[in-house]
Amino acid sequence: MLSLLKLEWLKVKNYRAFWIFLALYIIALFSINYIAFQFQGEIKKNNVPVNIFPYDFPAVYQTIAWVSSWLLYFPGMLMILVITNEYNYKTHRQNIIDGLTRQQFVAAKILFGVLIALITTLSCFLIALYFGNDFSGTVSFDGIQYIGYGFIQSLCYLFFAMILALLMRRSGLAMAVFFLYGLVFEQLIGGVIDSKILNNRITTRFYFPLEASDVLIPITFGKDVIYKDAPSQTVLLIVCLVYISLFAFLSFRKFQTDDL
Amino acid sequence: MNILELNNITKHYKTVTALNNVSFTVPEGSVFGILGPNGSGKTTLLGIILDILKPSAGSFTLMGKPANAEVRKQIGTLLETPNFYHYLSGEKNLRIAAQIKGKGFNEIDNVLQKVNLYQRKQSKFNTYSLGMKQRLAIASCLLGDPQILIFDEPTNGLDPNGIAEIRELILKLAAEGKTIIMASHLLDEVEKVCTHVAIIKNGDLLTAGSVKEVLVTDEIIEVASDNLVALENVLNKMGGFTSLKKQNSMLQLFFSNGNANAAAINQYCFQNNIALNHLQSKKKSLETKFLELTNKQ
Repeated sequence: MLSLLKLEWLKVKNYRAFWIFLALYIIALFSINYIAFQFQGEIKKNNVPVNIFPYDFPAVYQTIAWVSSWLLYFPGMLMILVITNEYNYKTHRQNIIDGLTRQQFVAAKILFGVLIALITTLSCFLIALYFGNDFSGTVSFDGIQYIGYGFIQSLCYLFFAMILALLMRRSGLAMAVFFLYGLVFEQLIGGVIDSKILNNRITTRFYFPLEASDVLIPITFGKDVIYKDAPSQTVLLIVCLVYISLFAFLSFRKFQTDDL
Repeated sequence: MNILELNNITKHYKTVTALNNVSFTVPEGSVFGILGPNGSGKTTLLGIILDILKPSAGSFTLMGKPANAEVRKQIGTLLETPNFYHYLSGEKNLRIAAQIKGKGFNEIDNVLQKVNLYQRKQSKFNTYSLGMKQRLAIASCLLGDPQILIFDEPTNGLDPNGIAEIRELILKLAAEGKTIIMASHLLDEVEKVCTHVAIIKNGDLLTAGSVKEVLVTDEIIEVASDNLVALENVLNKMGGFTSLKKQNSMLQLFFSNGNANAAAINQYCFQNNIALNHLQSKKKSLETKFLELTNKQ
């Protein structure tokens, strides 16, 4: 496993576009939370009795996880970029020719995805500590499970991006499908199935891969307003883990049986 | 020991059969040329051996074992188009290859020097000329001093100097006792370096074996004199050849291998009052033989 991580490290170590992308992403994570933080500050200043983005403990973890989740498409793009690069340069072939097994090639990408998810999660945790402390003047770890949910959500997005990249092989196409599916089609498909086909007798829309992970971290007032019909967090967590395993399994399958 | 053994390898793509029941063996220490026109299935065959393509049917062994990643680490491979990370330097690219092959990085400078790329090792791959890219690929395949080398059209796109360098390299590696498997459509190249050949056309194996067996070359003697009709009569009287062909201003006599004797012909003609003004013995070129074999079907 260590040698696979080292291999991925050698591939990205001197890849400037990758580091710029990653740095911008982390800066953006901080910035988007800063915007929400300022927004909530304005509300507080004007004594309006709503708390959309609570940045005090313990709710800060949930707020940060929710706000940050809007940017998860970017680490997803990074994943797509790193995988489709291999197809572009045909280095996926060269790696195999040089003596990597096909499983090892996918395993290395999975490790890479987990690492990116960890970086995202760690950034969110530090941002939460910073803003939480700034807002309430103390530190508390209540509600920190939302940072953990954030890790699961990152894996859902990243592994979904991985299987798209392996299926499409071209970065532009994979990214377009990734964005359009996540932002439009998933909601559309779920909504149509629920309202037109099932007549809202049962809800399926919460069981789609990205949506399940989104609902896992609802906006702080969302649970009572938007997601009244949503399944429990345990169920959502299991659904997410099933999808993560499925995407990993399909990635292995796809790369194992393909002509490269 | 046989380095490579193919058993009825078949590969179908959607509409075409790229390889049809191909079987042959590559003995240790040979320089094995896989010959065939463009699109005959050579690259597909090498792709299967290297596990980047899956055969539709059939099996093969490398070094007596079913192929696996560990065996591939012991093979140096040079493909038609070098595959490297464009944004990394030549040296950094070789580090990746060395990491996969499980070799140390300390060999890298050495192989870069061997291919005259040491001075440019810090330059990014996408700034290299085609020849330099190809040389980097050679450096990569020399990592770990492999005993088996696989070359796919190794001189494609190279200038005459580059072609000569590759040829020298192949001969040098062969002299070191390494087994070399090489796909090419350049007969000249194969003729100069190979000990064994397999000829493929449209996915079918036409023939395989040692160069001596496969390319049993006919010998040709060309003769001419002022009076070709009289010359032909005399030669027919003398006999010994398998066939006689009239060219513009000369006659070509075909002999089976080892039966041609230019001196005897010269003497016989002279004794029969014919003075030859042209006498040359030739071997049928591999090219003619190849065209014969591949056009037969």
